[in-house]
Amino acid sequence: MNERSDDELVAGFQDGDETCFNELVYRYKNMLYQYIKAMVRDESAAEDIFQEVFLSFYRNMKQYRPQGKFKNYLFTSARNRVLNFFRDKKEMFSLDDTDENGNPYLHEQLESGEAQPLETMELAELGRRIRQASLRLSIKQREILYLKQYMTFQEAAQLLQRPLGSLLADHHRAVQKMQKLLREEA
Amino acid sequence: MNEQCKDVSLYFYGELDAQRAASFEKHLSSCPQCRKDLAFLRQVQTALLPSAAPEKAVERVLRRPAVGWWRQMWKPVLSACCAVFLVCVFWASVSSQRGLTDERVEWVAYVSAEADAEFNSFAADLAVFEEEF
Repeated sequence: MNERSDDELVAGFQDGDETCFNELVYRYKNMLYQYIKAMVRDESAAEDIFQEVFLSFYRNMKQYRPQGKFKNYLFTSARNRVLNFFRDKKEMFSLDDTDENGNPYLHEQLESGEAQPLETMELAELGRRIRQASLRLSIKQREILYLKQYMTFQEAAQLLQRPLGSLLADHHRAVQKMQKLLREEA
Repeated sequence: MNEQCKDVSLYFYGELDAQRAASFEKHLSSCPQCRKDLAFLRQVQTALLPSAAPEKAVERVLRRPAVGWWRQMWKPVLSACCAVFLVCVFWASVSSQRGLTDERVEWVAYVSAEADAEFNSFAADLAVFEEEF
Protein backbone atom coordinates (compact mmCIF):
# COMPACT_ATOMS: atom_id res chain seq x y z
CA MET A 1 0.00 0.00 0.00
CA ASN A 2 1.31 3.46 -0.87
CA GLU A 3 2.19 5.71 2.00
CA ARG A 4 -0.15 8.69 2.18
CA SER A 5 1.40 12.11 1.64
CA ASP A 6 1.43 14.74 4.39
CA ASP A 7 -1.27 16.72 2.58
CA GLU A 8 -3.52 13.66 2.32
CA LEU A 9 -3.10 13.02 6.04
CA VAL A 10 -3.80 16.66 6.90
CA ALA A 11 -6.91 16.64 4.68
CA GLY A 12 -8.08 13.38 6.31
CA PHE A 13 -7.54 14.88 9.73
CA GLN A 14 -9.46 18.02 8.78
CA ASP A 15 -12.31 15.75 7.68
CA GLY A 16 -12.41 14.29 11.18
CA ASP A 17 -10.15 11.23 10.87
CA GLU A 18 -8.07 11.43 14.04
CA THR A 19 -5.83 8.53 13.02
CA CYS A 20 -4.35 10.83 10.37
CA PHE A 21 -3.13 13.14 13.12
CA ASN A 22 -1.51 10.20 14.90
CA GLU A 23 0.21 9.14 11.69
CA LEU A 24 1.65 12.63 11.24
CA VAL A 25 2.92 12.55 14.81
CA TYR A 26 4.62 9.20 14.23
CA ARG A 27 6.11 10.43 10.97
CA TYR A 28 7.77 13.53 12.43
CA LYS A 29 8.17 12.91 16.15
CA ASN A 30 11.81 11.78 16.15
CA MET A 31 13.29 14.39 13.86
CA LEU A 32 11.27 17.19 15.43
CA TYR A 33 12.24 16.19 18.95
CA GLN A 34 15.90 15.84 18.00
CA TYR A 35 15.92 19.29 16.39
CA ILE A 36 14.26 20.95 19.40
CA LYS A 37 16.49 19.17 21.89
CA ALA A 38 19.64 20.07 19.98
CA MET A 39 18.56 23.70 19.94
CA VAL A 40 17.45 24.18 23.55
CA ARG A 41 19.82 21.60 25.12
CA ASP A 42 17.31 20.97 27.88
CA GLU A 43 15.29 17.77 27.83
CA SER A 44 12.34 19.00 29.85
CA ALA A 45 11.98 22.20 27.79
CA ALA A 46 12.38 20.14 24.62
CA GLU A 47 9.52 17.86 25.66
CA ASP A 48 7.28 20.85 26.42
CA ILE A 49 8.01 22.51 23.08
CA PHE A 50 7.58 19.20 21.25
CA GLN A 51 4.09 18.78 22.73
CA GLU A 52 3.12 22.40 22.11
CA VAL A 53 4.02 22.13 18.41
CA PHE A 54 1.74 19.15 17.79
CA LEU A 55 -1.06 20.32 20.07
CA SER A 56 -1.06 23.77 18.51
CA PHE A 57 -1.45 22.13 15.10
CA TYR A 58 -4.25 19.98 16.51
CA ARG A 59 -6.10 23.00 17.88
CA ASN A 60 -5.63 25.13 14.77
CA MET A 61 -5.90 22.46 12.12
CA LYS A 62 -8.99 24.08 10.57
CA GLN A 63 -6.94 27.14 9.67
CA TYR A 64 -4.11 25.11 8.10
CA ARG A 65 -4.18 25.00 4.30
CA PRO A 66 -2.28 21.99 2.88
CA GLN A 67 0.20 23.20 0.27
CA GLY A 68 2.74 20.40 0.31
CA LYS A 69 4.71 22.15 3.05
CA PHE A 70 3.61 20.46 6.23
CA LYS A 71 7.18 19.69 7.30
CA ASN A 72 8.07 23.36 6.80
CA TYR A 73 5.02 24.39 8.86
CA LEU A 74 5.97 22.01 11.68
CA PHE A 75 9.61 23.10 11.86
CA THR A 76 8.66 26.80 11.63
CA SER A 77 6.28 26.30 14.53
CA ALA A 78 9.04 24.52 16.52
CA ARG A 79 11.59 27.18 15.63
CA ASN A 80 9.32 30.02 16.81
CA ARG A 81 8.87 28.28 20.14
CA VAL A 82 12.62 27.67 20.43
CA LEU A 83 13.21 31.39 19.83
CA ASN A 84 10.64 32.22 22.52
CA PHE A 85 12.45 29.86 24.86
CA PHE A 86 15.72 31.72 24.27
CA ARG A 87 13.96 35.07 24.62
CA ASP A 88 12.57 34.00 27.97
CA LYS A 89 15.86 32.60 29.13
CA LYS A 90 17.93 35.36 27.53
CA GLU A 91 20.46 32.73 26.44
CA MET A 92 20.42 33.40 22.73
CA PHE A 93 24.15 33.47 22.33
CA SER A 94 25.20 31.05 25.03
CA LEU A 95 27.77 28.54 23.91
CA ASP A 96 27.84 26.81 27.25
CA ASP A 97 27.78 23.07 26.84
CA THR A 98 26.41 22.32 30.24
CA ASP A 99 22.81 21.71 31.17
CA GLU A 100 20.66 23.84 33.49
CA ASN A 101 22.32 22.24 36.55
CA GLY A 102 25.80 22.92 35.29
CA ASN A 103 26.49 19.29 34.37
CA PRO A 104 28.10 18.47 31.05
CA TYR A 105 25.30 17.97 28.57
CA LEU A 106 25.33 14.52 27.07
CA HIS A 107 23.17 14.11 24.04
CA GLU A 108 22.91 10.43 24.62
CA GLN A 109 24.63 8.21 27.12
CA LEU A 110 26.22 4.96 26.03
CA GLU A 111 24.62 1.92 27.54
CA SER A 112 27.00 0.80 30.26
CA GLY A 113 27.59 -2.77 31.23
CA GLU A 114 26.56 -4.18 27.88
CA ALA A 115 29.31 -5.98 26.06
CA GLN A 116 29.73 -4.57 22.57
CA PRO A 117 32.18 -5.45 19.79
CA LEU A 118 35.19 -3.09 19.75
CA GLU A 119 34.29 -1.65 16.34
CA THR A 120 30.71 -0.88 17.43
CA MET A 121 32.00 0.71 20.61
CA GLU A 122 34.43 2.87 18.68
CA LEU A 123 31.71 3.96 16.30
CA ALA A 124 29.35 4.66 19.17
CA GLU A 125 32.07 6.66 20.90
CA LEU A 126 32.76 8.62 17.74
CA GLY A 127 29.03 9.29 17.34
CA ARG A 128 28.82 10.53 20.92
CA ARG A 129 31.81 12.84 20.40
CA ILE A 130 30.31 14.21 17.20
CA ARG A 131 26.99 14.90 18.92
CA GLN A 132 28.73 16.65 21.79
CA ALA A 133 30.81 18.72 19.38
CA SER A 134 27.63 19.66 17.51
CA LEU A 135 26.16 21.08 20.70
CA ARG A 136 29.14 23.42 21.08
CA LEU A 137 28.51 25.11 17.76
CA SER A 138 26.86 28.52 17.58
CA ILE A 139 23.07 28.44 17.38
CA LYS A 140 23.06 29.37 13.70
CA GLN A 141 25.54 26.63 12.82
CA ARG A 142 23.82 24.08 15.04
CA GLU A 143 20.46 24.87 13.52
CA ILE A 144 21.56 24.36 9.92
CA LEU A 145 23.56 21.25 10.84
CA TYR A 146 20.48 19.57 12.35
CA LEU A 147 17.90 20.89 9.91
CA LYS A 148 20.07 19.51 7.11
CA GLN A 149 19.46 16.02 8.43
CA TYR A 150 15.73 16.28 7.64
CA MET A 151 15.48 18.52 4.59
CA THR A 152 17.29 19.87 1.53
CA PHE A 153 19.35 23.06 1.67
CA GLN A 154 16.67 24.71 -0.46
CA GLU A 155 13.93 23.78 2.02
CA ALA A 156 16.07 24.93 4.95
CA ALA A 157 16.74 28.28 3.22
CA GLN A 158 13.00 28.71 2.75
CA LEU A 159 12.30 27.82 6.38
CA LEU A 160 14.96 30.14 7.78
CA GLN A 161 14.25 32.83 5.16
CA ARG A 162 17.93 33.09 4.36
CA PRO A 163 19.85 33.07 1.09
CA LEU A 164 21.01 29.61 0.05
CA GLY A 165 24.64 30.77 -0.30
CA SER A 166 24.88 32.02 3.27
CA LEU A 167 23.28 28.83 4.55
CA LEU A 168 25.80 26.69 2.66
CA ALA A 169 28.63 28.81 4.08
CA ASP A 170 27.29 28.35 7.63
CA HIS A 171 26.98 24.60 7.11
CA HIS A 172 30.54 24.45 5.79
CA ARG A 173 31.80 26.46 8.77
CA ALA A 174 29.88 24.17 11.15
CA VAL A 175 31.53 21.08 9.68
CA GLN A 176 34.98 22.71 9.84
CA LYS A 177 34.45 23.78 13.44
CA MET A 178 33.33 20.32 14.49
CA GLN A 179 36.41 18.77 12.91
CA LYS A 180 38.54 21.31 14.80
CA LEU A 181 36.77 20.56 18.10
CA LEU A 182 37.29 16.83 17.64
CA ARG A 183 40.95 17.35 16.80
CA GLU A 184 41.44 19.49 19.91
CA GLU A 185 39.71 16.91 22.03
CA ALA A 186 41.96 14.18 20.68
CA MET B 1 40.35 26.36 -0.97
CA ASN B 2 39.29 25.56 -4.50
CA GLU B 3 35.97 27.01 -5.71
CA GLN B 4 34.71 23.44 -6.19
CA CYS B 5 35.44 22.55 -2.56
CA LYS B 6 32.32 24.59 -1.67
CA ASP B 7 30.19 21.98 -3.40
CA VAL B 8 31.16 19.19 -1.02
CA SER B 9 28.00 19.40 1.14
CA LEU B 10 25.67 19.70 -1.84
CA TYR B 11 27.42 16.73 -3.44
CA PHE B 12 27.22 14.64 -0.28
CA TYR B 13 23.49 15.27 0.12
CA GLY B 14 22.81 14.63 -3.59
CA GLU B 15 21.70 18.18 -4.28
CA LEU B 16 24.01 18.96 -7.22
CA ASP B 17 22.74 18.67 -10.78
CA ALA B 18 24.29 15.88 -12.86
CA GLN B 19 26.78 18.13 -14.64
CA ARG B 20 28.12 19.75 -11.47
CA ALA B 21 28.18 16.39 -9.70
CA ALA B 22 30.32 14.90 -12.47
CA SER B 23 32.63 17.89 -12.35
CA PHE B 24 32.92 17.60 -8.56
CA GLU B 25 33.77 13.91 -8.82
CA LYS B 26 36.71 14.79 -11.09
CA HIS B 27 37.83 17.38 -8.55
CA LEU B 28 37.43 14.88 -5.73
CA SER B 29 40.09 12.58 -7.12
CA SER B 30 42.67 15.35 -6.75
CA CYS B 31 41.48 16.96 -3.48
CA PRO B 32 42.33 15.12 -0.24
CA GLN B 33 40.56 17.78 1.86
CA CYS B 34 37.23 17.18 0.07
CA ARG B 35 37.63 13.42 0.50
CA LYS B 36 38.23 13.99 4.20
CA ASP B 37 35.19 16.31 4.45
CA LEU B 38 33.05 13.79 2.63
CA ALA B 39 34.05 11.01 5.04
CA PHE B 40 33.35 13.31 7.99
CA LEU B 41 29.92 14.29 6.63
CA ARG B 42 29.10 10.59 6.45
CA GLN B 43 30.05 10.19 10.13
CA VAL B 44 28.01 13.26 11.07
CA GLN B 45 24.99 11.94 9.24
CA THR B 46 25.21 8.62 11.10
CA ALA B 47 25.80 10.32 14.45
CA LEU B 48 22.85 12.68 14.02
CA LEU B 49 20.31 10.09 12.96
CA PRO B 50 17.22 10.98 14.99
CA SER B 51 16.90 8.94 18.15
CA ALA B 52 13.42 8.10 19.39
CA ALA B 53 11.43 10.90 20.98
CA PRO B 54 10.53 10.12 24.62
CA GLU B 55 7.46 7.91 24.81
CA LYS B 56 5.80 9.94 27.54
CA ALA B 57 5.95 13.12 25.44
CA VAL B 58 4.54 11.29 22.42
CA GLU B 59 1.84 9.72 24.60
CA ARG B 60 0.78 13.12 25.88
CA VAL B 61 0.46 14.39 22.32
CA LEU B 62 -1.57 11.36 21.26
CA ARG B 63 -3.88 11.70 24.27
CA ARG B 64 -4.26 15.42 23.49
CA PRO B 65 -5.18 16.37 27.08
CA ALA B 66 -4.93 20.10 26.45
CA VAL B 67 -7.74 20.08 23.96
CA GLY B 68 -11.03 20.66 25.80
CA TRP B 69 -14.38 20.69 24.04
CA TRP B 70 -14.67 24.42 24.72
CA ARG B 71 -11.59 25.07 22.57
CA GLN B 72 -13.36 23.54 19.60
CA MET B 73 -16.85 24.76 20.47
CA TRP B 74 -16.43 28.26 21.91
CA LYS B 75 -17.20 30.00 18.64
CA PRO B 76 -20.49 28.21 17.87
CA VAL B 77 -21.54 28.46 21.53
CA LEU B 78 -20.79 32.19 21.62
CA SER B 79 -22.70 32.71 18.33
CA ALA B 80 -25.72 30.84 19.71
CA CYS B 81 -25.65 32.92 22.93
CA CYS B 82 -25.50 36.15 20.90
CA ALA B 83 -28.44 35.02 18.74
CA VAL B 84 -30.53 34.14 21.83
CA PHE B 85 -29.65 37.50 23.40
CA LEU B 86 -30.69 39.43 20.28
CA VAL B 87 -34.00 37.51 20.08
CA CYS B 88 -34.66 38.34 23.76
CA VAL B 89 -33.90 42.04 23.25
CA PHE B 90 -36.17 42.14 20.18
CA TRP B 91 -39.02 40.36 21.99
CA ALA B 92 -38.73 42.65 25.03
CA SER B 93 -38.83 45.73 22.82
CA VAL B 94 -41.88 44.52 20.85
CA SER B 95 -43.84 43.57 23.97
CA SER B 96 -43.08 46.88 25.71
CA GLN B 97 -44.37 48.71 22.62
CA ARG B 98 -47.50 46.56 22.64
CA GLY B 99 -48.07 47.47 26.34
CA LEU B 100 -47.77 51.15 25.53
CA THR B 101 -50.33 50.84 22.72
CA ASP B 102 -52.83 49.11 25.02
CA GLU B 103 -52.49 51.92 27.57
CA ARG B 104 -53.12 54.50 24.87
CA VAL B 105 -56.25 52.65 23.67
CA GLU B 106 -57.55 52.49 27.23
CA TRP B 107 -56.90 56.22 27.71
CA VAL B 108 -58.67 57.12 24.45
CA ALA B 109 -61.65 54.90 25.44
CA TYR B 110 -61.77 56.56 28.88
CA VAL B 111 -61.61 60.07 27.39
CA SER B 112 -64.27 59.16 24.79
CA ALA B 113 -66.58 57.77 27.50
CA GLU B 114 -66.11 60.93 29.59
CA ALA B 115 -66.82 63.10 26.55
CA ASP B 116 -69.93 61.08 25.71
CA ALA B 117 -71.23 61.44 29.29
CA GLU B 118 -70.48 65.17 29.20
CA PHE B 119 -72.28 65.51 25.86
CA ASN B 120 -75.32 63.52 27.07
CA SER B 121 -75.56 65.62 30.21
CA PHE B 122 -75.28 68.82 28.13
CA ALA B 123 -77.94 67.51 25.66
CA ALA B 124 -80.32 66.73 28.57
CA ASP B 125 -79.80 70.19 30.06
CA LEU B 126 -80.41 71.74 26.62
CA ALA B 127 -83.70 69.78 26.26
CA VAL B 128 -84.91 70.97 29.70
CA PHE B 129 -83.99 74.57 28.81
CA GLU B 130 -85.89 74.37 25.46
CA GLU B 131 -88.99 72.91 27.18
CA GLU B 132 -89.01 75.69 29.81
CA PHE B 133 -88.51 78.62 27.42
